[in-house]
Amino acid sequence: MHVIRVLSAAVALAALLHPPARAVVPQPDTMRGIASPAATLSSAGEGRRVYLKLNCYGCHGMHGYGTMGPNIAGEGDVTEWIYAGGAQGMPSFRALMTSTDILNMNAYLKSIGTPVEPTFTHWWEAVPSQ
Amino acid sequence: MAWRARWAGGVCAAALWLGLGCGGAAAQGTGATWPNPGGDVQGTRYSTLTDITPANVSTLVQDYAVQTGSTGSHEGQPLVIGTTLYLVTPFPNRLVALDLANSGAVKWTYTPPSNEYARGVACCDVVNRGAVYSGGNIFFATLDNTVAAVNATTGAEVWRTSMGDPGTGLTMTGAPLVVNKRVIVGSAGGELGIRGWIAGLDIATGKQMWKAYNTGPDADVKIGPNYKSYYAKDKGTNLGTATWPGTTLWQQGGATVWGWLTYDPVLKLLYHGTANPGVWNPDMRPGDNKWGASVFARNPDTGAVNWAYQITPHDSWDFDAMSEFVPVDLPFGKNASRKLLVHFDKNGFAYTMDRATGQVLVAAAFEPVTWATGINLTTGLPTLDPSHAVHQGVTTGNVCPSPFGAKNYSPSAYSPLTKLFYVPAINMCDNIQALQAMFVQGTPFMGADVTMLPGAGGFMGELVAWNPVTGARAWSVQEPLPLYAGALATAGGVVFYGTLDNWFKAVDAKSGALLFQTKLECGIAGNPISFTGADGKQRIAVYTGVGWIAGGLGTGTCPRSGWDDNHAGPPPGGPPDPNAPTSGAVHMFKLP
Ligand code: HEC
Repeated sequence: MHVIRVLSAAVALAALLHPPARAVVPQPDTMRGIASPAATLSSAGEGRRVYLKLNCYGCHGMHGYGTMGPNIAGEGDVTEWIYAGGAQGMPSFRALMTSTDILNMNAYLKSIGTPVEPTFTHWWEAVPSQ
Repeated sequence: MAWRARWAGGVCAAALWLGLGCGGAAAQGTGATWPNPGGDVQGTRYSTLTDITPANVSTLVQDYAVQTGSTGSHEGQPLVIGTTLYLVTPFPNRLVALDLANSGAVKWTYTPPSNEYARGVACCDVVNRGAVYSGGNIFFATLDNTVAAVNATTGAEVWRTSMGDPGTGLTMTGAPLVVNKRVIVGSAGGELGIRGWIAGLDIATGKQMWKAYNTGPDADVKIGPNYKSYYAKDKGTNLGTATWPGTTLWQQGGATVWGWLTYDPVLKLLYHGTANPGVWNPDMRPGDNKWGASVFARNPDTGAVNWAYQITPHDSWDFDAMSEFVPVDLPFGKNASRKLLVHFDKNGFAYTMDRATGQVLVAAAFEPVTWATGINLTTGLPTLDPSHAVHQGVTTGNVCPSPFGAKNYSPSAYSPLTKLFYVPAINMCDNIQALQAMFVQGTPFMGADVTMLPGAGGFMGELVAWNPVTGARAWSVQEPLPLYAGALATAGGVVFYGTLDNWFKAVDAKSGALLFQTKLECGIAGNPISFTGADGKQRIAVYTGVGWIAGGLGTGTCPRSGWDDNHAGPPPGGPPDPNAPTSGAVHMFKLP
């Protein structure tokens, strides 16, 4: 992720100043019956839930190691990125994440590769069965 | 009599000049030039040049290579007009003109402004599948959704049209096709909840003259009074919404057009497939999900649908039908010559259809298939294997083919001499679990956890020579890695293709015997072309350059890029080689 940061420092800064206008439109239809369950897991676990629910995994990989987007395993505080997004395809999630979600996300990304990393996929279950 | 003969000859010459054959058959193949992505408008990738033969191809040497200055997979193919070769780089897309009379010296480069945001929303690497030439201009689409017309002589922009905002998840990767006065282009972005479309732009101004969505009401799809379909399953009103019962997910329904467009000048029909329906989780979208994973025959002037056929109803395995549909005329049954349409689907079946009606005449697996046991030619439906259905929250094992498909974007070639198709195929399977997914605009709308597996037999790639009349293989050449690059067939009797592990190969079109191979500096994800060099002799050109998704299939990325090195940890082959190339290239080959 450091390579990307160096390469795109200028554009990322520009994006912070002028966040790209982007409509974030959760479709009620697709959300039916999947309202996020009440927090039942550790902070890292709830972070993983948001990571799957908000489709971070589609760009950063099932375990954060990157696919379309960069490797973010072990990343520090993500607040800036969540608020402003990036100029190279990272959307702003400001409208979709609370400050608790962001703290949980930080805990999740830090846990990747450690023995306490949550690896479940059934984010829509209160206590994911797998 | 003499007068009549001369007159008939004149008509024939005019017909050939217009791209039409005599006696109702369309001329196929290209010669000195390579003006369309697939060579001719039918997309046969057949060259009529005969200098290079099975007897002399082993002596082939590289004339020279020119670096593109870009990283990522170089998936398309150059064009050649006169003594100029035109290439479009991966994103940020540039159109570069090389002087073939001067060892590939750069004549000019056209660099449109680009929106970096497209890079991160491109599902599958920042690829471009090439340009098309017509009437003195070159046309191509950019990843950030503009279509440009550029003067082929001067490199000056003629027009540029914006087709949408990458912030919505929309990207464009396919090569346009020019038919009559239309530049036809299609959308990518199906993995990001894009509602796929195809559009016809005015060739002179770039103005959008028609746009058809591939999901939604008939009016949007351009299904009207002239629509017919061979099978009952594809008949009805507003199937693009009715086959999504209980949801409005057709609005994010994928069915994009990122593969190849082809045209039959005799029936005057444009053929294109559509990608998988979105979201990947099939339980979220009950029904057939039309017109995902389908083929359309359209009027290129208006977009109106002539016929349609859904290849994989309720696709649950990522079986895009975006690969080429190639019109060929062959003896079939009692017909001395039947107008066929041949297609190799990601789903593993090869389809030989009647291209006037959409009837499937032959359908047979060309690679191992587990999701279905066959295609019922009476109903047009696949016979499903229920044990390979995909559902939310449970893992379905050993689905073959994998989401890479039995054949991916990599185009096949057809030789009218052997009457065989040459298909770059993939032998891979997967375990797949569907996950609940929420639509957030500009993010992947997938809902899937997929593990790729090598197919049985100890090989993952195969060049398959296929007889479209019998639905059987003539021969095949196995490759350790998946084939992720196209084929070229020549009238000299040679078939060319490249591999991800850096080999450029030539085999005998009749037998598949290896005749020539050379190891290049990077792997090949591009499609060879043939044309005549400035000295009047036959040339072969092919790109090298493999980005993160193709590189993930075995070799890692080559050329290296900061972006790619940052993906998914170190490449499987170990840490990146500090001396690895930093640019893709186009390589030119000739006889000594
Ligand atoms: C559409 C793809 C996409 C989605 C969805 C996405 N990202 Fe990103 N992300 C990117 C790209 C591309 C970058 C590179 C920076 C840029 O855009 O300029 C990035 C950068 C980042 C970075 C900074 C990495 C660095 O360089 O240090 C973090 C942290 C991050 N994303 C976290 C997230 C989280 C958390 C989510 C889900 C809430 C998410 N991303 C969703 C594409 C995406």
